[in-house]
Amino acid sequence: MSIYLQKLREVQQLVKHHGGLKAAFLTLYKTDGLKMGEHKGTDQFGNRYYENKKFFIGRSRWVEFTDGVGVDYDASMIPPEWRSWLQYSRDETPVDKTVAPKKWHGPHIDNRSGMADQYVPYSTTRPKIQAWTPPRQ
Amino acid sequence: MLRLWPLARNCKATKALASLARCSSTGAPAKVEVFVDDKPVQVEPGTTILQACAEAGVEIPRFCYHERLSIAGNCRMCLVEVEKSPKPIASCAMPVMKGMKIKTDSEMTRKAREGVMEFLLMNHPLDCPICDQGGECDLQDQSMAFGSDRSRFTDMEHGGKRAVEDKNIGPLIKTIMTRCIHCTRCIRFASEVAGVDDLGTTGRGGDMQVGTYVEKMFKSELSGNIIDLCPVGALTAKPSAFTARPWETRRIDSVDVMDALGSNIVVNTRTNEVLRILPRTNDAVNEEWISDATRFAYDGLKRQRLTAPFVRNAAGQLEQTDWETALVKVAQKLVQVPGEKVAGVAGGLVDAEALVALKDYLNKLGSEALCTEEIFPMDGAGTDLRSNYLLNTGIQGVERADLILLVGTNPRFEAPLFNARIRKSWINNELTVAVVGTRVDLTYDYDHLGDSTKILADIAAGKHPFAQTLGKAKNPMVVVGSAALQRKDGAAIHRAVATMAQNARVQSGCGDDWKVLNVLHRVASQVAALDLGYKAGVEYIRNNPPSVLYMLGADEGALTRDQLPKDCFVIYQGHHGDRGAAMADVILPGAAYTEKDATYVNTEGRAQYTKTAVTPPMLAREDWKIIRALSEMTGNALPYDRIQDVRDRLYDVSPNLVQYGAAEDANYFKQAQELAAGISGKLEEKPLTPSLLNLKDFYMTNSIGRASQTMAKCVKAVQEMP
Repeated sequence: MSIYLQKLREVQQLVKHHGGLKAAFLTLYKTDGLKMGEHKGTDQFGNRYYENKKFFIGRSRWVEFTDGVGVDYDASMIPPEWRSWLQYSRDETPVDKTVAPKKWHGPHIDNRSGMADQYVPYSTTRPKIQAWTPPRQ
Repeated sequence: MLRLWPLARNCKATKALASLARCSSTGAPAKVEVFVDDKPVQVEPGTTILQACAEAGVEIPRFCYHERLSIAGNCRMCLVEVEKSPKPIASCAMPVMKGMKIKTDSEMTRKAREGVMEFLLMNHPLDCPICDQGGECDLQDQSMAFGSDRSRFTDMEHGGKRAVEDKNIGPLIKTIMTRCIHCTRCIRFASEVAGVDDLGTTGRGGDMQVGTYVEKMFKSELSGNIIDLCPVGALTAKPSAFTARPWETRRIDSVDVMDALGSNIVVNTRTNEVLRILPRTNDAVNEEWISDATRFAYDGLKRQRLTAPFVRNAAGQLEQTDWETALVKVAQKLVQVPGEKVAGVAGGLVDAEALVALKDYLNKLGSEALCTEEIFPMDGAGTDLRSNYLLNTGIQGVERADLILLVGTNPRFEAPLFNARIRKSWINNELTVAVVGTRVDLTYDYDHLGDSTKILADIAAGKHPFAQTLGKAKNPMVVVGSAALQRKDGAAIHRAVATMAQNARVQSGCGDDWKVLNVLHRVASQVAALDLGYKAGVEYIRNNPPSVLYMLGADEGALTRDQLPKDCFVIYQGHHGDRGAAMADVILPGAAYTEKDATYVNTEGRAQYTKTAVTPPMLAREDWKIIRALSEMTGNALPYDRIQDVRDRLYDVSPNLVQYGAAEDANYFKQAQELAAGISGKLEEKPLTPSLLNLKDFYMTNSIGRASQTMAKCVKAVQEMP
């Protein structure tokens, strides 16, 4: 019986952690799960990063995407410095230990495939037909 | 008289052996019976063992033997065993004898072939993977079929294989002389067919080299054919080097438009791109040769192309648009002006379908002003009688002729294969050639009668001594070049030539089926245009200034802006941005000859068709379809929707235009001459000079040639290389 009470308490805490029943339900809808963890930081896009070492490695770090994107999120929205923490490449978060930006770093852009501004490679083959250009007068 | 010593020698031997064969046979049978692998075959005396085997359906492997060249017998690949002969015999050089028992697949024959192949491969590099001939190499194929299955070549540490320095013989032919197996086909072609004795051998045995001795260009208008003749990869095409493997290409039979002969070609394409052009055998037209312009000008099809419609904007600039805008613009203009103020000019590369579509359309609009750029005298019978403007004897007819008079033409560059035919006949048939016109190198000897037009009048009047020669000839031919007819006194020249031809026809008693008068045209479209009733020459348009001028591939500058009224609206339809496109107000992009199903009629009146090898580039379309679309826009649609309907229309106008492969005869020489008697024009003093005098003039004669970089390189090389 006490197990069920404990579970109920955990659910209560979870709901409280996510800021109320409505917000918790929304998170459940977006991420298919409700997890409780320590908020380690937020990147420049508003994505929130959490850690809970009670979960085993692989599930102990996660991201909640910024509210603006709804369910339309994508792993490429995570900037590289946070990605390396998220994938356990680094132990410290960019908040704990800032990554010095290299001069060749550009601003992070997520995957634009399928969008109007998607990347299209230019042709490197020589055109088969060379068209005539009218003489300028 | 055989005019080449190697041929003369062979001929003597053949004749002697043939007579021997005849003597030994009892009675009168004209044929000799031989046994090929115990199968009896009846062959003409004097044929070689190799030909006899071919008749029996057995193909003997060979490298040096080629049926259109003299016999060399130096590759030894065609060795066969003949019963009662102690050694294998080179079958290409050995005439058959009665009762000969030839064994083409015996142990001795196979061993002989294997041995020859081993020697050939010993001095041949193993670079088949990077060789352009790979896949169509005789050595490759025959080593697979007749060679040994293993190598005994172990001479690696003792100097290895033979290596020969490559020769630079011009921008068309790439030589990799290490691959040469000394078959001497190229040498024999150069001296016998091309008539340019540039190639030869130096050294003996293992040190033998084929080349030009001192570095020089192989200056011939037929030079590309040695690429096809070369059984290995020693001579390959420079412009198409390393582009494709032969098994990757699609081959489409087509017809050439670079000159008026209509050489039969095979267009090799891959990924919608013309990669090379090869000859197709047609004994009536080009045998199996093609000229260098035909073979190598294809890169002009990829440059300076009209790929989208253009319309001249308010600022006077040509601006790229879409079809609708361009056609609406043209249609609006055509609707505004009265029909008789519309004129059409057709250029030299236009097909019969487009010609008939334009003629029908302009006639519907109410105009009769349809001209060709190329001039032909319209006085007397003019173009009403076909016999006046055809090469009546036919190209093959040259081989039956015994006297040819060339008037104001340089067939070597105006129609290289016609010239090759004359040379062939000159070598083998004791043909006599005489020339009235500027002295040029025709690759054979001829009597130069002078270059004055007065000579023509004298011969026609029977005052010149050559008139008697002409009268005595059994099968005379008089060939007048269309270049000579471009002159102001073209009508008078034509009359003089027609008169002397008719006189010769009567005097020589050659009968009704032999025609003497021949006109050698320079452009591919001319005969079809004249058959369809186009006026030759733009004189009519100059005299009746049009408000709208429709130029169908007219790029030779027969009409310039200054000769047209200021407000004349010029439409250009064609495939290249050249002189015509530059002066146009609207440009409609058409298709070149490799990009459409089209009919061309050659100078002897032979209708032939091209097939679509590649699609027209970008927005360009087939020419007759453009005119058909335009006719719909102006509300008098032409009554054909499919190519078959256009060809039915061609059949209605002139059935010969769609009788493909056949040269329709023309006649009425006598009547034409009677009508010509009324021509008043006088012969001018100016000497008769053909427009193409030297090899450098040959390469760029039309818009495709002018756009071709290969042709430009040829012109440069001819001028700069020794």
